[in-house]
Amino acid sequence: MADLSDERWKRPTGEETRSEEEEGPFELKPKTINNEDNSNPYNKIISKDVREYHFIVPSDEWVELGEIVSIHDRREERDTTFLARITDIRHDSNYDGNWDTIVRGDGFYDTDHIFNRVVAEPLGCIMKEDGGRERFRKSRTIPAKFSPVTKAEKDEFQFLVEVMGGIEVGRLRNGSRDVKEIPVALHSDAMDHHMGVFATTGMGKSNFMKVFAASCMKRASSNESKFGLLIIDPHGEYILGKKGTKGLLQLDRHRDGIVCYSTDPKHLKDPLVSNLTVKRSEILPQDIEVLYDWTPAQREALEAVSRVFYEEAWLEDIITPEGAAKMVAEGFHEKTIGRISRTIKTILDKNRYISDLTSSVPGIINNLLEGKVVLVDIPTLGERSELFLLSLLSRTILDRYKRESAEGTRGKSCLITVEEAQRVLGGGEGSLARFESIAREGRKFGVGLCAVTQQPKLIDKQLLSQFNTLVILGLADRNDRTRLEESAKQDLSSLDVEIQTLEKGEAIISTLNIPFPVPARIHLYERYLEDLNRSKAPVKEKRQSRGFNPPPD
Amino acid sequence: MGPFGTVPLKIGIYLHLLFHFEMIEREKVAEAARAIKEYFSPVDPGEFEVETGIGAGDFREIVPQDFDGQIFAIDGSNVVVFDLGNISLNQIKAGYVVYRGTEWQRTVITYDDLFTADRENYRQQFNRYRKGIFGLEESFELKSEEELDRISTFFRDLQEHVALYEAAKEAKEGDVVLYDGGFSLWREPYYREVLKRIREVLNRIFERAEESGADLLAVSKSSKLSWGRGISRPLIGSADRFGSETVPDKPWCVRLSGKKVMPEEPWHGKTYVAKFHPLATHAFRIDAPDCTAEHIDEVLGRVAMYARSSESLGYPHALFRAHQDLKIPVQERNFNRLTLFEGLRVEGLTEQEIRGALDYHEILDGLRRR
Repeated sequence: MADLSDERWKRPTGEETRSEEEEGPFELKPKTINNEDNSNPYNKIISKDVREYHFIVPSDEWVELGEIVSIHDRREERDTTFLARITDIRHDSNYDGNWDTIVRGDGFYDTDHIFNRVVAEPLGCIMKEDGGRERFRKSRTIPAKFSPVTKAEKDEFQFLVEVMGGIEVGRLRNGSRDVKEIPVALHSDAMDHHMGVFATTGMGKSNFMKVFAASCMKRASSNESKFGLLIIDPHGEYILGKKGTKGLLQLDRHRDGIVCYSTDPKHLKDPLVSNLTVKRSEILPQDIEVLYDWTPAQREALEAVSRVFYEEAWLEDIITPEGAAKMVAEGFHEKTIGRISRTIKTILDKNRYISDLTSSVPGIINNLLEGKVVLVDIPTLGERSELFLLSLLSRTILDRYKRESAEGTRGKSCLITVEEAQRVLGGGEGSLARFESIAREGRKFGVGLCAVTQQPKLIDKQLLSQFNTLVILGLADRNDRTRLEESAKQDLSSLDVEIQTLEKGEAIISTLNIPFPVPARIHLYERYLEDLNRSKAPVKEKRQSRGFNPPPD
Repeated sequence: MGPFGTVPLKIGIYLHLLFHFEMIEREKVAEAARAIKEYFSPVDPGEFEVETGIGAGDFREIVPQDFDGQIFAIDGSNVVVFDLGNISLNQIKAGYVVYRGTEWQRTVITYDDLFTADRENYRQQFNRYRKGIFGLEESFELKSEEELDRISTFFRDLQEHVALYEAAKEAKEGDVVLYDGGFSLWREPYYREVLKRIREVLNRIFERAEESGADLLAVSKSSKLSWGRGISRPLIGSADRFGSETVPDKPWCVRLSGKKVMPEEPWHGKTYVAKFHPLATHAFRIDAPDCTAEHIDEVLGRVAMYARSSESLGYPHALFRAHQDLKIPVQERNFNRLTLFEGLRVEGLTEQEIRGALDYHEILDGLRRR
């Protein structure tokens, strides 16, 4: 660019142009631009605004969606490193028109004019505070133009180690590369704010849940657990694994962190597994209510049961002729009572764990209050039985937690896992009031839901917005992704393509206390199991630091 | 439908009105089209040979050949930053790019500065370079009252020649140095007045190239060379048609010097027309000093080898890049202009005074009609 420096303007008015003699011997001072100097246009911030950064890379350089890049601000006095996640990669060039559709000749010589434009979303910036301490914060400005861009390495992610929780589920992932030094771990404090695990079939939901449960077991066995985890497993895959996978009981080192209840005689051989029983007296009419599509008259009759019979004996009484007569005397039709009686007989027949004498329910709740993992293994039962048990357990858990919260005697929080959660959290007709109420107010009493589903689009939007931890393992359906984007606490809209292209075991985790949705590679359970069985001292959950707020009430 | 037929549909009606009320009459444009068409009519080989002395046998295939050396390409540009009527301030940029094969090596900018085109003071600026670079003592003088933009054009030429000289100095034996323009300037009436001064400079450059052992070629994208009786037809365009039929699907060249169309040789060099790629849209006029003309086939073969890029098929790629790298972007010109205005304010001039100093054309140009 031409030299128009101030000096030229400061010459006194009227001074003549300098003569040749005054200028001294002639010397040509050419300026050379080559590849080695600052003329390289790649990997420098060239655009665009506070919400979106652009830089270019050579066409043959491999960059991936989701990769996190580090941008060192050239304004030295600030000493700031911005982090940004790649959200788009586009073909671009310095040429206008249709040059790329009429390519002739030997090819392009000046490949530096044909490149890929990379679009990145700012995640925040790491700033040095007084005393040299680094702090990550949301960025309120843009990096200086032409600030250099590099792939973020473990050093730039160190701040994450300090904001992670204690329930390890995987490692940080940068694009397809794993950052092995940075674990991804959820916060126990966030669990009663509900968690959702979303993935299409085969993307690793069960693996994630086993890894999650194993980490919970580990914490429980070292008495560091802050919540109990209830898993009702209708497929029998968690206890000892299935089809070559391993189960939770094989985590020998932390077996004292789990209690199991099973209806499967094979699993009962393990001394740690108890026979699942539910006392008849623990079953209330509303537990039956959730199982079938009752007519209004039938529903009304069920609601009247507690008024007509003693609470603890209603189940036996209503199926007797005397009991039926009592209900008829209350004005209900004989056929209505007949249908209810037949249904109750079916339930009692199919759910052989229903007993007159013993019950596992108090033990289950006590273990949850102690912060253990409770696995209820019901592989021999059908879907209705699972829902029935889930309904019964969640009711009794919520009642007990409410009571103890009121009395001020409550133990640790708990997280109730609901597989195929769209069955009970769909809103309207497809929803179960009990789970809705846990989603809405369970947090107050320390009860959280862990909804596992492959169809988040079927979960009620308002209920989903109560979920503060989202583990997204790959969703092909755009409607599923849109539903999550609409409900998430952190902005996931720019991650749409990345979520669509997640591979098995890869996840995006959005949760409280961690400042942005974190790309993670979930541990393979079998390998994690080996590591845990080999490991020594448990890792203590880190305290929150660096000014991050505690989770909101 | 012909190019000037009635265009149906609503948009056509609008265009029709435009032709009637706002543009030149259609018939006049059509008449011009008929006249121009003559330029594009097929070349009769016999007539062409009679008129130019160039026959089918004069066209020779260029065989592209690889080589280990470098290609240098020189170009420059100039823009008016501020025009005061009797003085104009121009930004001039000149330099060269260097390629090895298809790989760009570097761009060297030998001049990027402001030039004040002033009838009173131009000599000193010319002489500084003429003496400093070329060792020429004789002062650069314009014989008549010249327009300011012509002074800046000459100065740009001088800076391009400086770049050419520097490239010739840097080049080694076997390298090729390409210049965007011509060496046989006596044909351009524009240059007649200063031809002697320019030829002194060119001679120094040719000597330098000869010392280096590098080959020098000037490649001209436009040429006023013509042929034919009655209607004057473009020589390069007609040679292109004739040559492409005579040497189909191959690059080719034809020598003009010594033919009827170009009998005069007042310089130590030869002029050719060359088409560097059969799919190229254009053929170019090539000027080669005698030392290069001695083995012109080999040198053109080297140039043709690297005139096959997709960016500029059929044009030496190094020249394409030189044009890109040495062009002054409008943003840069505007930036300099604003800096200049700022400088004038520092000097105490008011906005009104600055505006008053502008050439009125600039003010008119600034008022855009929607």
